[in-house]
Amino acid sequence: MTDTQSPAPLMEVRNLSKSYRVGGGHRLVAVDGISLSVMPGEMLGLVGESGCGKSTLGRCMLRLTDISAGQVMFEGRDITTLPERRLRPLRPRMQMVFQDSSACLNPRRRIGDLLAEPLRVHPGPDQRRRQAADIERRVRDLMELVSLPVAALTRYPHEFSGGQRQRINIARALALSPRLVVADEPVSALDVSVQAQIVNLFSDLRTRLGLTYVFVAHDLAVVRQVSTRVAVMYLGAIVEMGATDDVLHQPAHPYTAALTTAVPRPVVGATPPPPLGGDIPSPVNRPAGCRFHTRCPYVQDRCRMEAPVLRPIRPGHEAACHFPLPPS
Amino acid sequence: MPAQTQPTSPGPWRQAARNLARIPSAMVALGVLVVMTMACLLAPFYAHSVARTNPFQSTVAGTIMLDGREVDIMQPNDNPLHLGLSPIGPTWRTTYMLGADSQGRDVMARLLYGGRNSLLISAGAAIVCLLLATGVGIMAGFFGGVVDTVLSRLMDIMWAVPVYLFAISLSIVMTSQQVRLGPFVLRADSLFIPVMIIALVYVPYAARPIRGRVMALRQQEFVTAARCLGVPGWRIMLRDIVPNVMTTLITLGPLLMALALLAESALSFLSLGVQAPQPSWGTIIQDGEGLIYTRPMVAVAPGIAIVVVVLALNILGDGLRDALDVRDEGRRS
Repeated sequence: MTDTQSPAPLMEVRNLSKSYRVGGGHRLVAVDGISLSVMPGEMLGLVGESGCGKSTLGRCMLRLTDISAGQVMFEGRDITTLPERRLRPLRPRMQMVFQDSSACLNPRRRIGDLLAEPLRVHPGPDQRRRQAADIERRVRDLMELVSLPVAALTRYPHEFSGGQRQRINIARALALSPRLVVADEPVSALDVSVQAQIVNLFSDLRTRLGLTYVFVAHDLAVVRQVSTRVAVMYLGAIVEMGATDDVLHQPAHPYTAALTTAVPRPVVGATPPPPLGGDIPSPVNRPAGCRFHTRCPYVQDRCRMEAPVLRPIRPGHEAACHFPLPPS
Repeated sequence: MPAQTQPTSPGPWRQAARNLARIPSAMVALGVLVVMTMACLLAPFYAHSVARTNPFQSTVAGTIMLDGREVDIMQPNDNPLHLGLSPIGPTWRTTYMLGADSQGRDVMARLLYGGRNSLLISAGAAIVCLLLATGVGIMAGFFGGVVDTVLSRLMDIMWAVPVYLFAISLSIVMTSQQVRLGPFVLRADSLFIPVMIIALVYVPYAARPIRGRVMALRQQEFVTAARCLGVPGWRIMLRDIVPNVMTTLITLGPLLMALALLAESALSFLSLGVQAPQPSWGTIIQDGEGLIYTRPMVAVAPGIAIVVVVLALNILGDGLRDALDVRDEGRRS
């Protein structure tokens, strides 16, 4: 947690759950009662294995999927059940960058058209419809912002590389000057060399535009670079949350510890915990007690019976574990 | 980055046109269709200036000069009793090129005039059908839920009735008296009646794939992205869904026109489509039915015309489907 935070969170999620009905009367619980708040100006990293519900959580935050239970507050306002029509005026202030850079651009529309679309739909700062000349100027500025040539505006999405397309997506998300940007694994589909460029672009834009990010990723190296605070998710719940450096260097939850050892680090002499065995359990049939006990190397009887809740371990560092690891 | 020399890049449509130009069978089919259409459009010119007749001019007692001899247009039958009259057969000259029908009318002139009606009705029916089906398919696919259930079941019910039976029933009702549609009155011999009937009966045929396409598109990330940007639903439908459905419509168009042409011919053959004395390929076949043993050309010529056009439309439709495959575009980058 940063000490520059203002008291009012930009986005707050309370007891959020999202489940899907699957065959045979079962329910797949993708997000299981998560509470967290995103402070203005912070970069919250959401990490976890694929299928842990981190993308679903991101989508629920922006009301892109229906929410099964709980509350989502944006700028102190409950948007959980707001109808789409009433939600639309809020959309400019909360935006998303999607994982698949090509799927989220309509293949039949030119880049200029795609970038102008949000500007055409939403009124300008003076609450009037934007003029065509203003839109065009703004679109050009956006291209400059993400370091793409203005000449590319007349081209179609398929003529660009993955990294360039992701720049276009970022430009489109920023068109309406949002406060909050949820980035759903924005770099995981890109080449490693391109990943670095896009991650740098994100950091750069944050300082220039004062953005708040929720950065969903499964790659800890990426999260370490872009986030000030990190929430580790396992099977639909947050198991550990705190300042990035603290969580990644002094993990209190065995799962986080296992994740950090999966990232090669030049640390000599450190004894890594044993690697995790087995697969992530099915979100349709979750284990009783601690959701991690089936794979935890330090599992005790209590873990199988009683589910641990997220509780402070140290100031600004929470973990959901009965036997948190001591700081090394 | 693609080369900067080109100010604009070829859009997906131009790319598809280029792809189409590279498919020989489709280009041949397109050529055939253009030639047939031009020939039918030039029907008045042919009838007036070349054959010196019109499609309705019945010449029962006349004669024409063939190889310096005067030949009856209606010739006595060569059966032992010389009972009845047979129209003149193909002369392969400018007059009565394909012979005459039982009323002594020039078959070639009627074939060209009939082609105008047949092609107009089938193209019109295909367009009206696509418009109706697009409305139904987009509503069902985009709104889903109850709207989808009601529309889909309605389509199923229509689909359950055999197409020709349905068309025949509608035709019998509509061609027996004039139809009032608000301020418009459709006379029983109006060409709009077959257009409307054929368009209506093929709506389920076209609506189903369109609905499927809309359903698939609705799941696309770019629709979610548009929603996230706060684009209203109707605008997403118009700007993001419809242009992507266009490829389906363009592919369906020729296939639907081929089906419409067959349906039109069938209805006209049964006197339930184009009404006599107006010619259409179906009515000419009916005219030739009684002459099938003596003057087969009367029925065969429009039959060949139907086969050629239907075949060309199907080949063109296949070519369009290949040329419009969007997935290829994505893979190039």
